[in-house]
Amino acid sequence: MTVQDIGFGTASAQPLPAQKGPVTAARQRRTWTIYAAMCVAGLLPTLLGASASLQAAGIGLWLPGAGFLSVGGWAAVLFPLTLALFVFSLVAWFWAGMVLGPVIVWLGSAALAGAMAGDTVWAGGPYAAAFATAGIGYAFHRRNVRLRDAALAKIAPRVAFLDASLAEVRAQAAEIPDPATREMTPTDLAALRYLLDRALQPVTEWGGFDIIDQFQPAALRYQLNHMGFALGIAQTAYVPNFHGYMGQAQRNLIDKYLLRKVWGYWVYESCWGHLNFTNWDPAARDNIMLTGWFGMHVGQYMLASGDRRYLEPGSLTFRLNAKTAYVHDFNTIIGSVKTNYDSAEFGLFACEPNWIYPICNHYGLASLAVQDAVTGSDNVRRYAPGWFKMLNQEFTDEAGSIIGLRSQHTGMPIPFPTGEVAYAAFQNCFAPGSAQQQWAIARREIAPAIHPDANGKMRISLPGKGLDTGNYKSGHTGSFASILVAAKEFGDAYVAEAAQNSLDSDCGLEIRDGVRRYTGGSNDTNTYAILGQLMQAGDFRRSFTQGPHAPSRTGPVLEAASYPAVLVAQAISDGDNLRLVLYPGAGEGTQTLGLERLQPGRAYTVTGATTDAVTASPDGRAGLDVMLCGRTAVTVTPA
Amino acid sequence: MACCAFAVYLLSQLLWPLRWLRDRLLVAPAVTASASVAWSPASVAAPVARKWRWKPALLLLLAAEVFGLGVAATAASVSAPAQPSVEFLDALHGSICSAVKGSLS
Repeated sequence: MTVQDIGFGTASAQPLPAQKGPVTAARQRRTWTIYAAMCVAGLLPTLLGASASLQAAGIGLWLPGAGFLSVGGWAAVLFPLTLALFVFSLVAWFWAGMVLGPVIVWLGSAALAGAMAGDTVWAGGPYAAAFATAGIGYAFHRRNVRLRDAALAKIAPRVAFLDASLAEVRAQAAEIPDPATREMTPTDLAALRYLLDRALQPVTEWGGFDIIDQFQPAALRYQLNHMGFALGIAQTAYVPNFHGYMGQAQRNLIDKYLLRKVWGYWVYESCWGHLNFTNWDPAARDNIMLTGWFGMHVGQYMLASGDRRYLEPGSLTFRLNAKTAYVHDFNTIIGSVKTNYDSAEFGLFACEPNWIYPICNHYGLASLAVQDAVTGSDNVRRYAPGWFKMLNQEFTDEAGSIIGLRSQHTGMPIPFPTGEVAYAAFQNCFAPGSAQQQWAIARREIAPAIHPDANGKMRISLPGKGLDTGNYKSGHTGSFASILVAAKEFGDAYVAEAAQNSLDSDCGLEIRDGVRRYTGGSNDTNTYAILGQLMQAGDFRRSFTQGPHAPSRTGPVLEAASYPAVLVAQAISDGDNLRLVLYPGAGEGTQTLGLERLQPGRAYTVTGATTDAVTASPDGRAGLDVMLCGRTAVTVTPA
Repeated sequence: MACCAFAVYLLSQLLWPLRWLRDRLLVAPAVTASASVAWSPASVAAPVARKWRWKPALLLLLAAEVFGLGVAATAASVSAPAQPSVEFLDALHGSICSAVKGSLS
């Protein structure tokens, strides 16, 4: 099997011929050239016998804080402290796009060393600085060699199992559920209620959300997006003919997203990352973590519901204050993704200023696929080939895995824990063949961690305490949920069952007041686990690229039902009828339902309600009373 | 003077996360179950995890940090070896250095 056979971003049979893409190589050459120039410029004052201040400042250009070594004496203590501060500034750069942080610390410490220098410098300073620089450089080199060796060691096993694994994946993924008979179980409904409870509260209220920071994975925007994804999948797969509170919940999430509380982080990142102090439009330059994710979210809702309100100009306006608003709609947000792709040297573009995450770019390309489905555009055909070419050239390591994070300015890769599991489901939205290859690798590399527990149930044993990216605490909820989503998407029942068992056993499963949750996880990872629980093979792809099965798009809909009194497990149509499966959510009793999109004036036969027939009003509406007692099936059929 | 001021500033930056951790670990007991996940519409005024109750304190701390940076920068710019006070500082540093060297030897 060759690289070409396997596809982009997946395992290769041999080390990739070009280990660095041309853009990466050029950017890294530029970085090293600038650094070399700093070293030469820093050495010149010493060679030319310039003033002590200039000598100390010059040595400070070699390494953050190295100038303090030249100052000598107690000032040398500041060298390790400055290095530590520089690491913190790098974290701030990574965390919030604070590009200025490392620059200020490095150059500032050099300037300060110059200011602190007396009449002479310590003669050993340059040697100590050179030694420290070489030591740090050697440590990074050793680390890179270890990572490269580890990546190379993955190749042979991958090549050995890939053909067989891929054949199994293709067979499993082909078993698609029948859209005309799908119905949520009581367990699914209990999980769905976790989402609905949060989404149906007033837009400005945030009960049940984790509010920590708005920069990194615990940010509200990701919680909102994942909640929207899960509701969109439920709408598409199980209740396409139920609008009512299901639609309201999804629109509430979109409205929450437009609050400054959610997107206001971009004001700060624009200032300290782009040095842009005037235009903080969140859907303009970079910020694919907003445009790509939100684009998927809004597009999926429109596809699932048939509601096209977010195509209207100004329907997705980000209001900064009374005077300033950034006016957008679905098409302009996706337009921002495309504009950035058009000018992206790496082929992929940044989240925070400087930081390019391939996982967010998977959301970005998936958002283009959603626009294709909603508007009939041909984004994927136009953008995917070039996107994959650059992903393969610039973001693929020696094992064929996708590099998690790369610095746009320096070209340097940064370790970031994103693997084949995370990419597979998203890639399935625009490149099913490549996505299946990702999962074919992931499932075999997960397999050794799957064992039966004392009760004979298959469980996944992951190393360490794990990290919940939704609240920065320890825990494996997010990892199990990601595995569950990918396994469900590709119809892998064995891995999916193991992931679900692990969630239920290890993550604090609690069912209280009819709501299912994992108390050991964050709100975000709970949401992702629910998404996985609701899915069957291909659901993720279908919800973003196809929407509900065609007959349901024109059939009658359940428009009015109260929450949580009426829980809707199924709402589907063959184009003429309406088939509902309902459960009581707040005790048994009679509930009134409102139907719409009936044929005006037509008589319908009803089963499962308190009446046997209804006649649609001239505007296609009708009401029904239903006695809810356990699973209650209701059908409305043209007489 | 300048090195001390800058060192204090750097230390304050470096120790801040440790202080924050200490406060979290010693004052507030570690919570294993997520309060946000346990939330339900029926829970009146349910606490949402990690509200920014310490925002005023954070702002005060940031103000102090900015002030510290100003002191450090000012101290660096006015630092001059010829000033009399430096003799005292040199003596102080010398004695500390001697003590440290003595303990290491």
